[in-house]
Amino acid sequence: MDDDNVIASTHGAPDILGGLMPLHLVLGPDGRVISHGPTLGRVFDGQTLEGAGFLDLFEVKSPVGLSGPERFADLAGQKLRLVAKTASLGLRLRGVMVPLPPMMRGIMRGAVGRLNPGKGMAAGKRPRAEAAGWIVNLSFGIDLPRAVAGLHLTDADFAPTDLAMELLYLAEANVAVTGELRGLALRLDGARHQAKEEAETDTLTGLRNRRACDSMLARLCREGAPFALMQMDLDYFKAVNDSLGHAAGDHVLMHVAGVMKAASRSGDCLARVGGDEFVMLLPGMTDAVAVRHIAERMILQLQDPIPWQDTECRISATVGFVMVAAGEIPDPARVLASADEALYAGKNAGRSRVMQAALSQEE
Amino acid sequence: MLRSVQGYLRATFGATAWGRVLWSAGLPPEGFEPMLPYSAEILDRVLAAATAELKRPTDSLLEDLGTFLVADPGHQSLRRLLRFGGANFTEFLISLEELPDRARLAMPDLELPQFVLTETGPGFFRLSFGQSLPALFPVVLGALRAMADDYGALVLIDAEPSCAEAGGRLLSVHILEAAHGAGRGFALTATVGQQDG
Repeated sequence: MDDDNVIASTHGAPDILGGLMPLHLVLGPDGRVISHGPTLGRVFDGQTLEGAGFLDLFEVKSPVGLSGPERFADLAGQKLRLVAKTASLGLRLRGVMVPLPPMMRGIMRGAVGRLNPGKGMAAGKRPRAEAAGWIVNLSFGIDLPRAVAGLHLTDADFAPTDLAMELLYLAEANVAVTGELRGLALRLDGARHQAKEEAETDTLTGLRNRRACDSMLARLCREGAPFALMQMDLDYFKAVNDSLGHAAGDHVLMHVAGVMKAASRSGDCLARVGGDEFVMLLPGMTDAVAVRHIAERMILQLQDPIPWQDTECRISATVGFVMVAAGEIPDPARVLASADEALYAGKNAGRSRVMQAALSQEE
Repeated sequence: MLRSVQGYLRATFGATAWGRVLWSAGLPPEGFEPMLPYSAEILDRVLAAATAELKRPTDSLLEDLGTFLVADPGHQSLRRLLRFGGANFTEFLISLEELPDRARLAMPDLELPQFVLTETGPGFFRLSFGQSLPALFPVVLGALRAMADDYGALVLIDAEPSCAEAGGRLLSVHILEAAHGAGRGFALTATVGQQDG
């Protein structure tokens, strides 16, 4: 079959090429557009591309140094990275350029003759005269979502063999799945926070519990920061419980929590660590006199009668405390034991008083 | 599945009704999370409780669930993902055979039933799928009907009664008119917060 027969049997060849490769360009030997695929036309907003120079339509990012059509032969089969020179989107495309197969030459001859009279002849004089033109096939690559959104492309703008639909599908499925997972993670994080709060809170008083107190004490000891630890036992609390009942006892404990909160700073840890035992951790506190004042003020307040139904409850408290200086890094158990010693010394000395203990040495 | 049942019942019948369903199924009131696996037995309990609570047959509830998942404005993502299957309803039907693989692209451990589509005549199809989760059958029926509306196609979809004893269950699909109504628009990229026309 000679070239002209091929042309006859492929009547409307650009349409066929357009169906196979909606983003293709057929270039003449002079690098000017002879025909192009329909989707490529949309990239350039319907502007007439026929006759325009390839290098006027696209900026070639790589390979670099492509100066003119006479160098096209070097590009054959190489991966091209291009940017469409359009006003708005500036889409990045990638593609490949191959010399026009001989069977297409006849079509080109006619089209070149029509568009660029004489150019076909001029090309014949150049050393690379054997190239009858070029086919460039392009793809949006990673700019696919931008292209689809910006150019309002549909399924019909892509070749049926193109994986563009799958890529768009995947991008969207990915957003949907990660969106669900993010929601799930937020809800679980909320639940985790709540569980942690509940695990570290004394439900009756709203103060921290022993677990929370232990973990903060361990952290303070490990960090070597100065702090004070106060241990407070209520006096006469058992009498309240025995004579007025547990509801009155609970009421007193909540009152104590209120007194402690009022006496503390925002970073302090207030915990109920036993029935009527409380611990106050004061990070950064180095002033033993101030700690003593805080304790004495609390005891005074606790000695005020606490109204309960038509009667009142009377309690007091004894406090033992210990100061830990910066850089000491003590064993947490030793800190607690020292405060405990001070507390019992206070109780033995007649209650309702504040005792300080030195941090005991290693056993 | 449970998460979508929860979404449907809560949106259609209210949070109170959903709370009563959970309560009578003996389940905690927090409900279900997406992406987490639950046992099939829990689904049965929820469906039984919903049937009793709402006094509607289970199959009819599930079919409505299928429609809800596709048509509800709050569930745009599923509808959009299904629409990627094809430019018209026929292409969409054909794409159902790929659905489990498509789903696995996004969630590798998601197991969807394998659909098998047979063309029995021009515009006549038979769709079968595995019976791993029987509750899925009416859901698919409802979802397909909603997708036909979405494409603007006039389609008759029915369960084939004769084949109930066969391994899987069958749906017959008859496309009367591919472009009957306007359908809903579908742009390939969705701008966040913006819906298709």
